[in-house]
Amino acid sequence: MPRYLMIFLIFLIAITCLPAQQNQSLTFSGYFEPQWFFLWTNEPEQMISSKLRLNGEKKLTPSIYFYANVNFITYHGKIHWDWTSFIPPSVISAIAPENLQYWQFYYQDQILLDNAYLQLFPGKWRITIGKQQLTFGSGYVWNPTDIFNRKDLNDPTYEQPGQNALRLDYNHGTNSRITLVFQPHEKFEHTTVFVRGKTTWKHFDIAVVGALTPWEKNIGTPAGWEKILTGSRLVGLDLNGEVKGIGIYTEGAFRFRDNDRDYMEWLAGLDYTFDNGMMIMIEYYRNTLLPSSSSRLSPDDWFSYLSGEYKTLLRDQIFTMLVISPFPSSVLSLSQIFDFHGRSMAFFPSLEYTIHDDLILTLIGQWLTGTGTDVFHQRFGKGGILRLRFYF
Amino acid sequence: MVLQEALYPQLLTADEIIRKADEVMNPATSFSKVRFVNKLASGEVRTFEYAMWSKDRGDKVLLRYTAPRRVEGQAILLLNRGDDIWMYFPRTDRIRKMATHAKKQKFEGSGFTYEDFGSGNAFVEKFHATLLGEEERNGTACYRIQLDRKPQTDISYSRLILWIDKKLFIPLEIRYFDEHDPNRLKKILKLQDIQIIQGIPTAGLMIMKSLEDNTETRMELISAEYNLPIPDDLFTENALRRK
Repeated sequence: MPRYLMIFLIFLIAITCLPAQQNQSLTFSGYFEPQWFFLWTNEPEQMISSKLRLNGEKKLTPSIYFYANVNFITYHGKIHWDWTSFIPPSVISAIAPENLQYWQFYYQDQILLDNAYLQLFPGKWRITIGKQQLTFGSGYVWNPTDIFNRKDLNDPTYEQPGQNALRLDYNHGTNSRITLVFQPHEKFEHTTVFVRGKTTWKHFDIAVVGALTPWEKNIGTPAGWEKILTGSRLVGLDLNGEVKGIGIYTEGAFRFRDNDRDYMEWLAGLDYTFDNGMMIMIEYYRNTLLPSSSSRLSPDDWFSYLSGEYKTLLRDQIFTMLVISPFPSSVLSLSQIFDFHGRSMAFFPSLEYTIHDDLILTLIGQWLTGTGTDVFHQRFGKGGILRLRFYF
Repeated sequence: MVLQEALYPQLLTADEIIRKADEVMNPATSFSKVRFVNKLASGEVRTFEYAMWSKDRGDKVLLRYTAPRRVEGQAILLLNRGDDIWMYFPRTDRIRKMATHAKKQKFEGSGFTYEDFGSGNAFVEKFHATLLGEEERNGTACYRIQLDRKPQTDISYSRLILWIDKKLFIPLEIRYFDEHDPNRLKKILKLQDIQIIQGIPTAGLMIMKSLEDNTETRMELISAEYNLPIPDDLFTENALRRK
């Protein structure tokens, strides 16, 4: 569906509904989030950002709901990053000198309409029109059935950006649902169509997923990076439940690509909470598209990873996390990702402390062990994020 | 009806007393708003407010945070007496099914666990009841009942001791004992400011003291309604995401 048609639909419905419900006010909320990012590579580096998220929402009628949020973000300090400083020298030498300019990344201040949507609830339907978060799948760090997002490895629960889409949910019974998502792209034939059917069996949530979606690939050419869109189809399964008190989940998807190699993504995880509240989680992720050795990674692979196109760089990885609450207002966690092939690791210790009911302090550290061509190489630096978030 | 029966106390067995207490604590349907004040050992105070819908005598429970802003909109759905739990996080618009062991987690760092909210008629089904005698609590004549966990049940307490008001059949005090050691007292719940709302005895204030971390949690009732029509579709994942 072309983008302008979707915007027109939102405003058409809003204009139709607003006059009848003028007595209901728009309510505002949000948060302010200053953040200090610090990194020790060859020398200490830092970047400070301030984010203001402003949410507005209104229930037009019991069956019509409007929500929007705008993010204002400013950056200070080191806002220019050279991605080649994070990749192995052997890969840098494979990049054509005239293409090195494309590996420069600049953080720019932004004002972004992150979400803006209308939700309608006719009968068993729920219809969401506009820019909205679309998050699917049981995995904590990776979600093979989620074609819309890529999570941040050191902060996987951070909110995802809104996507322009039309989402239809049909609810049947207690917990069965069919979800349809249409997401427009520049060319009509590249429209993403996503279908997810979910039901409950005993203590399990089971979902099957199908999608027609364009595959976006960055290809290095003598003229620079070129984005190529081709067709692809995805079929997947998502299962989440428990066996003998242990949380168990698995998520997998086959991707069939036009004019390119098909591949499979698969994830399996376990979690358990002990009587003292300590929680452990282990998650294994496999992606057959990716090489099993870091020495076979090309500049294209690294660029796709750093730009967010790939969820990971190597075929097999394992994530573990341990969470405890040493004091009632604090949550301490230690997560790590282990690359099976290069045997390098990334550690992300974190502390979340509730200073006040609406004020949270978060500290996330980063420490990597790899050498040579390893994916989790020490050249990514030791460092972390210190973040305050004040909700209003 | 509960009130009428309370006026004519008879010689009751432990099972009958606990069934009557269960009827008081788990009406057919209920809707309540609660302020939750958690005083930590450090002296810090955390305050939450939530709305809770319950149906089929506590078999289905939906709990939605209304304050503070940090957690507003976050919701928990407990079905089948807490054997199936889904949590909704509005910040990421994500619903996740939780394994049942997660219900042992503390509710916002308080002395309450998720299990304490959505266990339905666990007192009747998951414990053997023994009448230990009669005692006064805050000047009110009470039955003193001991509940011992039945084998092969997944409840987190090996033993409970309750003081149940002889007239109103509402517990005035509950003592919770460790999952593995029935002699190790973990926490004490006191129910105060008993009000009769739509004929059902209701605690206006509940105070939970955790002996393990020395926290004290006060649950102050803002409002309560009973036996109101609540549609089944409120206890669905779809309703979890609904604002």
